[in-house]
Amino acid sequence: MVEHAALRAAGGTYVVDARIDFAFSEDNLEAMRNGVALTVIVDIEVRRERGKWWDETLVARELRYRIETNVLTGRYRVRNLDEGSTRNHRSLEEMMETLGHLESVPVIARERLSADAHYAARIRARLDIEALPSPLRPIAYLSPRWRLNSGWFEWRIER
Amino acid sequence: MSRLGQGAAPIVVLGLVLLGSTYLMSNATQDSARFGELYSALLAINAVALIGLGVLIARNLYHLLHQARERRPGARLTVRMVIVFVVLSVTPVTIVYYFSLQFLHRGIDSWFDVRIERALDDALDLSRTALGVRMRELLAQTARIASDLEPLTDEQAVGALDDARRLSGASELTLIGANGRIVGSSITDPTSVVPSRPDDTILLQARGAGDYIGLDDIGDRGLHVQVVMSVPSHEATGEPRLLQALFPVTERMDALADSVESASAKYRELSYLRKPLKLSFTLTLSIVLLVSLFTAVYAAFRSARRMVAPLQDLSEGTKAVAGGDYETQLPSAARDEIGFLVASFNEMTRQLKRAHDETRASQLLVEAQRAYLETVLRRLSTGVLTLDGDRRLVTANHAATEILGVDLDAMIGATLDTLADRHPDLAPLVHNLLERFGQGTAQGQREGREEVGVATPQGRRTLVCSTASLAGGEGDVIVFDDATEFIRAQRSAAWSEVARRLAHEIKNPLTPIQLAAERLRHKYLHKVQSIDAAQMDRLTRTIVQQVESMKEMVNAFSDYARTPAMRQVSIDLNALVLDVVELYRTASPAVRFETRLGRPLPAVHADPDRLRQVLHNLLKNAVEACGGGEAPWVRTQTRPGGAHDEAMVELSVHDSGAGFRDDVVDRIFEPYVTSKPKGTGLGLAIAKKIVEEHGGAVSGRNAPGGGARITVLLPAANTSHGPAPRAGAATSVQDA
Ligand SMILES: Nc1ncnc2c1ncn2[C@@H]1O[C@H](COP(=O)(O)OP(=O)(O)OP(=O)(O)O)[C@@H](O)[C@H]1O
Ligand SMILES: [Mg+2]
Repeated sequence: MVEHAALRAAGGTYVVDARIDFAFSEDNLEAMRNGVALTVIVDIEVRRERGKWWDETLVARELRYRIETNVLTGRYRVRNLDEGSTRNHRSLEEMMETLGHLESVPVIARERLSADAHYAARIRARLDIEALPSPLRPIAYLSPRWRLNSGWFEWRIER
Repeated sequence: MSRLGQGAAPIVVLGLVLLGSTYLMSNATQDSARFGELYSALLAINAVALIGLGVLIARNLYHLLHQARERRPGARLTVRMVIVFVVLSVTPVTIVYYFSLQFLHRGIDSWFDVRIERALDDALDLSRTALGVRMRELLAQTARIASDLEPLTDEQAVGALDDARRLSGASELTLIGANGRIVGSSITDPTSVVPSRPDDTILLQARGAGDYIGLDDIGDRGLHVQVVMSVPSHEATGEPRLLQALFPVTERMDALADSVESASAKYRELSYLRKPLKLSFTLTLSIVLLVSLFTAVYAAFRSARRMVAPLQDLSEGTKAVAGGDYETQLPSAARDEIGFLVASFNEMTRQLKRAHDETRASQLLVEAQRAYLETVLRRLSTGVLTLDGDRRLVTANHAATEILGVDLDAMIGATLDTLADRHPDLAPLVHNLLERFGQGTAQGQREGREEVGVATPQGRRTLVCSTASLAGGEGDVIVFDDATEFIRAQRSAAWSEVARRLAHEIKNPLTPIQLAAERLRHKYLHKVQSIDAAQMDRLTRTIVQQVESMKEMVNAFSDYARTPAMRQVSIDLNALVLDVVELYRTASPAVRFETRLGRPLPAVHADPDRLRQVLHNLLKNAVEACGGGEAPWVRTQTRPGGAHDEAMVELSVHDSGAGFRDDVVDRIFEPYVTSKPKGTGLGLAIAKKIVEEHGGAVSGRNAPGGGARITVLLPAANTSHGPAPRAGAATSVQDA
């Protein structure tokens, strides 16, 4: 569930700050505890509103994080698949806290937004089922307890 | 019935595609990297194929059941064959499926062993213990460094860090101030400048509860032991500082721990995935089973239908032939027994058709002949009736109806007696016929012609009637002609002949009588006494006068009876009129003769002697009519054209007399109509006959200013077709 999200200008680009509560289900956590790596995806989109027409998607960013557990150390390791950096967390809560805290994610250059148009941004978090081991995929697709999807959180960009 | 995709090729291709996709899917289940990504898509494709096949089968099934319920030929056989095929293919496949599933589940379960799990856990514990020993050493070592740093100020401590690090073998030593700020650090790795900062939670723990020690992956530098402990301040009041030491685990140990960890993790994951794995294997196997099963069932449908189709065709073809359609030809089937059957059927229908065509051709011939005869009979002016053996009317042609004036078509099927009852007028005919039929049954005896008088709406008619038995003796044919006109003409001709002879015979002695009377008078009148003389004079004069008038009468009589052949030439009517009028002018000087002749006047094509006679008759009547009046006149007029653009010439004679008398005005052209004491009444009749013979017309009426006026119209000679003499009874008389 996206608790809060906002776009703000930082230098020449717009960046997104957001707080996301990853409501992992018991099945997710069970899999995670048993050494199954989960991949979560955060989608961020900026769209130009066009009235009757479909909104035009100006930019669509996808942030992918892979969560692994280390049995030996008992640590939760979060790997940012876009940057390749990793971070260890000693507890699940700590991991979720950090993962859910997005700060200054650059999204779009400022000059791409013109003054005389309306824009909206939206964000959502979901579990990447295709990244699961294949035996789990049919279950993950079919079972609602597996499907993790926050739904879109959308807001108008005010300037 | 539709034959989807005649050949087997599409089915084979479909089957191969399904087989390929199921193979890929089963590979993907085993998580080989190549197919792992395709797994979901393959699953979806196979599911869709399955649904498609299911729909196809359902449709086929529905059609089949529908046909079976409607008892469509071949449907029950198809149902039976489909059932056999399906049972034959489904049973073994289902058995194999069941055992495969058993093997699969047992196989997957056999991968997992409690002892292996135990061993892996133990290995994990062992690593932890081994690391724990090392960690305790390192904790003691860090405590020593911390106690060394305790008396030093921050600046001194930072200076001592490098030495302490080198001595202790740590990869990184960091001193953190009371406010959480890094006071100083010493790092082995020359590339990393920034010291790693412990988490806030660790810092909190180190400050409050006590020392922190933990095993951690530090960035990409591998497994490290992290120790954080407080260093009491050199000043009594100062906040304690924190020291963080990172010791690398030995390379061998790192590798071993890593291996143990990953193996354990993998095993744990696998063990966790056991259920989903079974599920997905079952799913894959089920889909493979269903795809092959459905394909088999569908193939069963198709092959059953293909096998039954020729039989069905045969059954339908037989029905069609039974219903009279001999054109039926079945598509030739394969070269098996059924194919032979189909070929035989086709041969049979061909022969049937040939026979049928021949029958039909002869039927058409008969019908054509019948139609021909009917046409001839209809056009015949002779009446023809046919009767069956019971003397019932079978046919009657149009002429028979016309002649008898009875609607014979309505009487078809009635006996002759009924006919006589219904139409009493026909009784004489019927009696005559029955009489003849009664005379004998031998054919020759009945045939012959006889005249029968019958009263019809058109008047009394004389029929010449003959009968004959039909071939085979079943019935009779009656043929009759209307001889009324013919007989009338014959009679008329006979009368003419009598009249002519009579006139001739009477005329011959008249001349001697006249001559004798005149000589008697001439010779003895002056010799007899005066009284006798007067009487003799009177008597002889009477004789001569009466003989004269008798002669005239006989002449007129013979004129009517005998008309010489016409001799038509082109004549100038004006000249003829002038000629004749001139004669009358000298004969009757008291009458003023006026002529108004139209010029130019088209010539007329006529017999000049007869036209002269017409003029004579008209002028004679006119002079007789106006003779007694004051200033009598007769006006003869000619002019071209009739009422219409027909090329005609008009001739009229108008007199100053009293006009036609009322009692005769309507009948003046009829023979023997006269108002004159000595008139024959033939003058105008002859004039009319002659004019009509020339194709003209004559009419008479009283003129508005008084006097009678007779108008004659004659066709002009230069008309394209020329004058056509009218055929009439008189012509027949003349010909006869
Ligand atoms: N010009 C006429 N004026 C008055 N009546 C006429 C005239 N011409 C004919 N008729 C009437 O028509 C009748 C028939 O004439 P038609 O010439 O046929 O016979 P007819 O003159 O009486 O006898 P015939 O010609 O032998 O002397 C006449 O008796 C007369 O009454
Ligand atoms: Mg006359």
